[in-house]
Amino acid sequence: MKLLFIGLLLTLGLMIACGSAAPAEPTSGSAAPAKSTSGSAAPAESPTVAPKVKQSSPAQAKAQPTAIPQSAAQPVAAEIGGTVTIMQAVWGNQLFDTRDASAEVRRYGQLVHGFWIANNENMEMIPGIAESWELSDDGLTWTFVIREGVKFHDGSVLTVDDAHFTMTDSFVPDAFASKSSGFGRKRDTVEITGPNSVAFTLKESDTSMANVLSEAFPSSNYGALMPKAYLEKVGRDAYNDEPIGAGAFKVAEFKRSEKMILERFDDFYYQPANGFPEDRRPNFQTIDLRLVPESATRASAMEAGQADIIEANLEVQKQVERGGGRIFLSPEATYAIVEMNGCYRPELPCSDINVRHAMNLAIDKELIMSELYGDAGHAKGWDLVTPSSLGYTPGLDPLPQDIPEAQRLLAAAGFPGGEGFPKVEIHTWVAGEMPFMPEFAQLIGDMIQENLGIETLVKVGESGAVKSAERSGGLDGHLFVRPNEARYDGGSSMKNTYGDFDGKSPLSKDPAVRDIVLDAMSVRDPALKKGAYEEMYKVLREQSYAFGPGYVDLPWGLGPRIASWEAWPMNSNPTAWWTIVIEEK
Amino acid sequence: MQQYILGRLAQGVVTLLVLSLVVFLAVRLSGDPALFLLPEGDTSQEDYEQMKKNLGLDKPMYVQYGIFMGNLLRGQFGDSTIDRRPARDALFERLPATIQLAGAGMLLATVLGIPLGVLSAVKRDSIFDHAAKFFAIIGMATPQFWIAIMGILVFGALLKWLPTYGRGGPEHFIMPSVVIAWSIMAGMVRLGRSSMLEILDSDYVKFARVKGLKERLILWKHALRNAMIPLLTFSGLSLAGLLNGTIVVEVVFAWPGIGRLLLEGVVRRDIPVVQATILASAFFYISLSLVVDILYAYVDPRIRVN
Repeated sequence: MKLLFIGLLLTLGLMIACGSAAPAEPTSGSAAPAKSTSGSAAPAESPTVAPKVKQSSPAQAKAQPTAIPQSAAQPVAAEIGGTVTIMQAVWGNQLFDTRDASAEVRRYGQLVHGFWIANNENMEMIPGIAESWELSDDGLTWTFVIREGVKFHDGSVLTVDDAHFTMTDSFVPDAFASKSSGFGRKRDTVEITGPNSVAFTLKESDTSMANVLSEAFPSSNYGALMPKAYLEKVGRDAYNDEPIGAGAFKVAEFKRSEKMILERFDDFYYQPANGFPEDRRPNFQTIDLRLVPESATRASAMEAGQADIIEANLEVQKQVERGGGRIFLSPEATYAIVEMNGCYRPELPCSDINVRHAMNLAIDKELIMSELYGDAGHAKGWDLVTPSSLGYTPGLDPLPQDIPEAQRLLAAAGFPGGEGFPKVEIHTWVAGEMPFMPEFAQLIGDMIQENLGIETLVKVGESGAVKSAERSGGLDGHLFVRPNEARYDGGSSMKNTYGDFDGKSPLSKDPAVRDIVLDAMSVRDPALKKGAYEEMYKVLREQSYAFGPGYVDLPWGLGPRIASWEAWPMNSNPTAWWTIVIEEK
Repeated sequence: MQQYILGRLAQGVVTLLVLSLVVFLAVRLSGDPALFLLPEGDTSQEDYEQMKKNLGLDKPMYVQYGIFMGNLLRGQFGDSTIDRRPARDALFERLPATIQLAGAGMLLATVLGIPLGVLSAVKRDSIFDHAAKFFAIIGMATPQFWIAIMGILVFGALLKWLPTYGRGGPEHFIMPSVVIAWSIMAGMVRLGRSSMLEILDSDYVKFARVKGLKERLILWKHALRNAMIPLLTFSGLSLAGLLNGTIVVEVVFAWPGIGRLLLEGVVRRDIPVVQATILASAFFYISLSLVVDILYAYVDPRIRVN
């Protein structure tokens, strides 16, 4: 018995002794002071417009002196140093490729990869690894001219073969990332059309491709350039374990669900020596990226000096400040939307536009956004359109509450005082990307009930179950309140919601509405696209199948070592990392 | 004994088979994984159909079950629908972290819980006994989540004595193992105390005292051995519970164990990962129950004889 007991203790002891030999984790406190490089913290002064369609033919573009001089790479700045520890709540599926990596992978993918198209602080598309791009007159062929001399992290030079491989490998019908499979199904041919140009021809026109390939697209790694030789040599699984890219940071260490150590890539292509107006290389050496799901733990880590930047919420503001940090609101990260489901069905009361308008007008959006989100909430925009979105105008802001008009419209629809109106359920879930969704839904329900006399019931479910119910028509005649990531170009979303009657969850099946959406989507000229989108959004807003009470900024906690950071709007990812300046205090 | 063990093994296999069917059906009833994987509001019907095909959900249910069982018989669980790797790899990758934490927690609970329970019984109604009772009640009544958060706040953020998160050197084990050990330790103290009280009042202990045996020998050899039977059951099942992953502790401390893996799988509708973790948990539970039953026989000769 004694032996057995001792054996048990020894076994348990061994379990611990055999444990990870990893060193203690806190890193930020010991980081060397960083020295700011030449004005990189200043706002970007890069061109703010995307190349116009047909701006240049591939041949013309090749003649332009935009190629990177081979000797132009800046010498490794010896004074660059320091580690920035960033804690995030989610990392998507933790893959690095373009075919299967999906959802929140941009949170690290944006740091590791170089993208076909870059963006500026206004989210407009600017030349990236593709120095120019164009869409053919028939809207079927996208041609990209790639920059010369761009390097991957292993030192190999990115060639047109890599560009061709990326297009071929990324866009296949059975890809897991939805846009990869979507463009994979539409793909006709991928051809090398010149020394530095590659053409992607679609079976049907899709004007959204450039946006999908841009750096600021909020999810997945669609626009990342893949290293053909390396990926073919090691295979996809090994690539996802030890990835390389052409981005500003190279992966030095990756432990799934724990940490990624990213080191500054000195040869990152986006720097003045290569003809760019600003240096997008970081002002520090290392990013220590940590996956810490619990917000209270992240806040405590910041207070303890073990984190420099954390995904935060306003509830931990005091704790962040106690640690000498501050809350920084990254603008327009997430929007909220209220959808009226199944209103194309004539037997449902909401098929009457008066009913939809009445519900919209019964709600005080300003009150909801300010009470629930304080300074981070803004009653602006419509649906997915926020002030930085393509096509936004102040005229799209939420309709102000107008209770008498709401009641008049409901009476005109045959339901005076809500009499005879069936009970309306308001479905939502507890969302990670936007807090207080149940409270949000409850306020909407209360306002509809009090102001219109319609009985309401809030149902908070699990996101998958609610989406399944929505898809099966189980929410028809009811409201569905959900958050989503803000986006610059909402065209394809509008197409799927209003232009595809057989789609996953169409809100409308009105041919006139569909035609307006499809017309706007067919506009190829970026200069005209803004106006077309504006008109489209105005029409859709008038229909009130959905309305957006507003959007929220994403709170980040910045520790005392972070002197400044000018994060871009519409992004939950660590954007504009080259503007992060660290200092020892 | 051999027959008994074989019978229990057969029972375990049947339990796992039944559980595999229940898990297979339950995870499919809890929502459509294809919908979860597709971006909200920007997805076409074709995207949806393609995703169902990619996930193998376009096939009839009985075909899906056949594939699942075929994989299972080969020791596989299929590829994770999220990170596209074999779910078994994800499980084995996370298991060491959970075993380490469970081991540390269990060791702490055992080393402190059993002696405290014995001493509490010996010093019945003393200040020590009341203090141990209070300690046990706090441990059982306080949610682990709160203890963990407060621990991080006090010892991590304010005093800066311990790391606030993550897996690493020995100092990383202190807070999470104390949190998971506390409630188990509390149970051991209470259970150990009551068992010891019952045994210390028994005739054979009185006889041993009359014989003049040393009190230490009576306590730690003759009494504790008999008091161990309920403690063994409790410890075995507690250890099984810990090996199944302590979701709350793993989430709060950012500990990459199988509890967090299960939670991530459930939240993301990662069917193969959920199936793998639940079946692995069931396997641990059944195995440890069997080990406990076998240990009974060694602790109590009457069971061996019967």
